[in-house]
Amino acid sequence: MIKINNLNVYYQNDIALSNISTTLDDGDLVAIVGPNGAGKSTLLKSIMQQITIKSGSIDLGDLSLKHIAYLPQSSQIDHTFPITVTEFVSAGAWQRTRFWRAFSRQEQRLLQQALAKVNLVDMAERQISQLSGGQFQRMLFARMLLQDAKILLLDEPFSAIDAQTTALLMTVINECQQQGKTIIAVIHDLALVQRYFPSTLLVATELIASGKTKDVLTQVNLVNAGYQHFSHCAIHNVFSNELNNLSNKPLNIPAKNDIINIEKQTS
Amino acid sequence: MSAHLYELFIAPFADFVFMQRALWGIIVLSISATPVGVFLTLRRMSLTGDAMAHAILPGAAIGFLISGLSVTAMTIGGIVAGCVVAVLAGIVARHSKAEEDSSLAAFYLLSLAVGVLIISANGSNVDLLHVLFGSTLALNNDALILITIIATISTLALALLYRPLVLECVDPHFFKTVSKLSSVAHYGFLLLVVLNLVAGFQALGTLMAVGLMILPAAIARFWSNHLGGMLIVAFISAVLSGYFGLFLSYHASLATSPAIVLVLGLLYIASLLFGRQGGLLFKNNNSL
Repeated sequence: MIKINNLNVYYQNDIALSNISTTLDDGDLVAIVGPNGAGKSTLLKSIMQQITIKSGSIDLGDLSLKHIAYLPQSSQIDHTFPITVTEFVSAGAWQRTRFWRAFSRQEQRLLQQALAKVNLVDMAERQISQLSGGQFQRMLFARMLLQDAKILLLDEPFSAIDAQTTALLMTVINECQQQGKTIIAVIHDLALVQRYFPSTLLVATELIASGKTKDVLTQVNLVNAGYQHFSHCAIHNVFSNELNNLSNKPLNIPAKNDIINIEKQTS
Repeated sequence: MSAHLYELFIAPFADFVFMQRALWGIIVLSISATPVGVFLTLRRMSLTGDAMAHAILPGAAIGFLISGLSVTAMTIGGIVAGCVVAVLAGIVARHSKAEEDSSLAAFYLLSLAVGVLIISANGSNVDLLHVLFGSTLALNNDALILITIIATISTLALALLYRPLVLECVDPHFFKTVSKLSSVAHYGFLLLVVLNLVAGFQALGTLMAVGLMILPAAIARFWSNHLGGMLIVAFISAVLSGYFGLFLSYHASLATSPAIVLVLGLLYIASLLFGRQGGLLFKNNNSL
């Protein structure tokens, strides 16, 4: 169980997270959503104790930081570094191999299993600079699987990848959840959240709403969080049947491309 | 014919101890400095290496001021000055609005000016030239032992730091989540840069020492897209340049350290043109 209590985080004098309190149970599959700059990644980094929190607390229960696996944003990684997929993924075994131990046969087997789960066995000896966006993301998942952690924190795991890869990676995530792992993912695509994630935290510096996804992703909550195009769409009667009134009912959110098309039509 | 070739290529190194010492110095330096150079270029810190090379000058100059051309005093001075500048540049970058590269540039220019002032005020032009450009052909036992000790320590330390350093280069955010060695890898690596530059300046001088670090790494990037391959190519190109630099220096009476760096430069240009990993001509062939 992860218990976040009155969390406040500042970047110098700017507030990044304000009075966040929530509890995540073991085995939860939770999406963190919110507009750009809402503090989603900051919340993940706070859980990992990568940034200093001003006040409040985060309680991991019986677990510690070594039980957390982190999947960073792809843009934070040097894609040009001259190493192979196998070498990159093997970093997932760091907690067991550290910087001195040899890579045992058991680790080799686990590595092969992780690569197989994300369909990357054929590319094991390829340089990471030669991978496409989707392949690179699958490689990040393989490294995370090799970590075999109890809590998985994913920072925008599906940005800039196609629907097929997203479906494959969601299968991997669901398997992890079935094994009792807690999964918390920062997701931008609300349609994806609605489709795959049973629970959601809606953040806009403060916690706007949390709970079951269908109760969180309502028009009122999204507009409160700063998703302006949802109030815009309400006026044009696209998502809601209730003209000019913000609705508390669950939204039927279209995929990203549809939103862009709607915005083009209405502008 | 073979006797002539022997006279040309082997005899200078077989007949003269000063040539053997110089070659030994370059080979030992190549073992430790080229992998550090490869990591410097992969971390896009080539200019940091250059700045640090200048930064060790005032320390060496103070050592010179105290004990003349004493290897130990100049080495200790160089290490202290290099570490101070590296840490100061890092602190200024973290606690002010200045970027790390501009603060590093400011510190190394200041260091260079102070170093040249100290040596020129207290020594001759020959002393200044010795510190700035080294004297590969005059490496004595003390200098060779020092270079070998530093190279051994550096190579062992790099072997220990290898995995943390690779992770710190590729994915620093991930590395911070699995280990507390991130800062150790970063500052340990900077210390290795300083150590190798100090070892290098005995042979090549403060201005040229960084050449044996950066140029082989830049050459290697054109021939291998694998880290292990890059380390091997960088080492071979440094040793070859050392040999042919000494060869040119002996036969054409050229200054040694610039001759070595010049050969490295020629290899770099050849690699830039013909390298199979992104060389200009190779690229053109591909596109045809």
